[in-house]
Amino acid sequence: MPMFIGAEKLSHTYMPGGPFATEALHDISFRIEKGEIVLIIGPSGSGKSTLIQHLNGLLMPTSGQVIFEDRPIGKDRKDLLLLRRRIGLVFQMPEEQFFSETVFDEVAFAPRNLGLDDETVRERVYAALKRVGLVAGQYINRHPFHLSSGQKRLVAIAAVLSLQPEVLILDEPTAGLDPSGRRSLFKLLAAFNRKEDLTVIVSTHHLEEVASLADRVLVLQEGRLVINGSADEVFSRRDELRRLGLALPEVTEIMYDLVAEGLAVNTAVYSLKEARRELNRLIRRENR
Amino acid sequence: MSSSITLGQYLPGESPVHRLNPRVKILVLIALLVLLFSIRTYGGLGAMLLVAVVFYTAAGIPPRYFLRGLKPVIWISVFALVIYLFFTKGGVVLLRIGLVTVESEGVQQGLFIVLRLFVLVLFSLLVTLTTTPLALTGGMGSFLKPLRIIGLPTEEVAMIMAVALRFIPTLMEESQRLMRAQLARGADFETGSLFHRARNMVPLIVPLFVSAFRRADELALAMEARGFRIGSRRTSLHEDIITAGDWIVLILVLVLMAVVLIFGL
Repeated sequence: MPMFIGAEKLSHTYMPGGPFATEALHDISFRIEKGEIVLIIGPSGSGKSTLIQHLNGLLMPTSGQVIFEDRPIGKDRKDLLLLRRRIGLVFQMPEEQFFSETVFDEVAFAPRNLGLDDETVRERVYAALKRVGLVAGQYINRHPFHLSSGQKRLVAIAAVLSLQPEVLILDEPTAGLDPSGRRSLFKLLAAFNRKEDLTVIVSTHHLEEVASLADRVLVLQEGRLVINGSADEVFSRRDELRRLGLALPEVTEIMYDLVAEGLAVNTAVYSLKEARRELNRLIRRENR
Repeated sequence: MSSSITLGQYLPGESPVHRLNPRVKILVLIALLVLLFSIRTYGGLGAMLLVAVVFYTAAGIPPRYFLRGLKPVIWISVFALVIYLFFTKGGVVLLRIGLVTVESEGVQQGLFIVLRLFVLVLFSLLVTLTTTPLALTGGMGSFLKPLRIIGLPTEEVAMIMAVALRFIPTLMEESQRLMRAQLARGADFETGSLFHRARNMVPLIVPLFVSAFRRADELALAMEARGFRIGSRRTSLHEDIITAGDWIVLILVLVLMAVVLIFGL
């Protein structure tokens, strides 16, 4: 498989050469294929946000390179503009970027920047709001600052989806949301990926709801990529993750406890649904 | 990003200059600046430059920091020099182009002014390079104290300055984050006419204001929760002690002043 998006020996130093120089990323290499859902996890300060901002050229590597479709991302302004259309990035707490008086203008900001005509902009705004599950008619005239925090988050995501990117990157998209908000947001991301074949890259330290969705997991620690593998591979390294302060989903922990009790269950279980299935299987086997 | 935070930014260190009391540093700076403007000869200027070199060496500041600090005054210097070269008359005519002449007095005075400006910047920069902004406002606040008698809320003024300084880097960081976030949404901050570019700043300025107000609100609550009240006396964690080293520097500067004034340098 050709590499779709990835990094080669990527390092980044903030304020190089001064007394405040800090190396945020060190020698990071990975590849992501088209259509994958990738999780980037790690404790806060591990470089997740810095890494993510390299993927659409907002930050430039101090050394090494970022690859998109087999080509390194360069500094050319036009290339970067094109790149940022195709790779949508939702920042942490994206509703803090709101500046418009209506939801419509907020979501229309990106397509207007592309220089599209009014009709196309309108179509894109409606489509983007629909994709995040908001009924456009009810929202377009409302003030974005007056929405609930969950709705704000959805509008902020729609404001990037209106670029119609091929890759959607989200930095801690569930920060500050309640558990039900988190669940519905991850459901939405899964739908983008499965139904629309969008490549989705998510940074988070909340494994609870998201673990069952991931194709691949990258684990960062102090700016280094310490684990890179499939979800099952990564989550089977429970002790290592624990040392990094990353807790596995509760259900997975319970499965580990059951194994410790001497029951033969599979520990690669990340959601309640999978757990129920696994436990039913166990019960049937015991009854026989 | 790396270039925007250079000019006079505090450079952490443990040198004797860093450890001087901020009030003493402010006093010494004022004394040296007054001295600088009363000096009339190149010899005196040389002495002042020597003082600056001694301070910088003691502070252990690498040359590139103060050289970078001089950059912004280069254009003013060139401008001043040109004015002096062509408009100050006297002495020997050095150059004649048609009706315009450059005379030796102009060269001498022009160079003097420029050198004086450089030394002035060097002194001011030394204070900001070796003192945290917080210590600096603390020092200034204590000089304002006498104004309390005429009813000025000096401690509050000092607090306002300290808070403002404290949040400059935070807001800088915030604006850079916002800029990148809006760039990701296809914003353009670089091209177009001046009017266009000003209008393109709206997606930056509105969120920045919103967050600044939110922060101010939170800070006010946090301060009140910790017992901050307008008009009440505060004590400080770091005691403001004048050490023997501070006295030595003060006395040396006084001696320098006396020498300059007595010998008319």
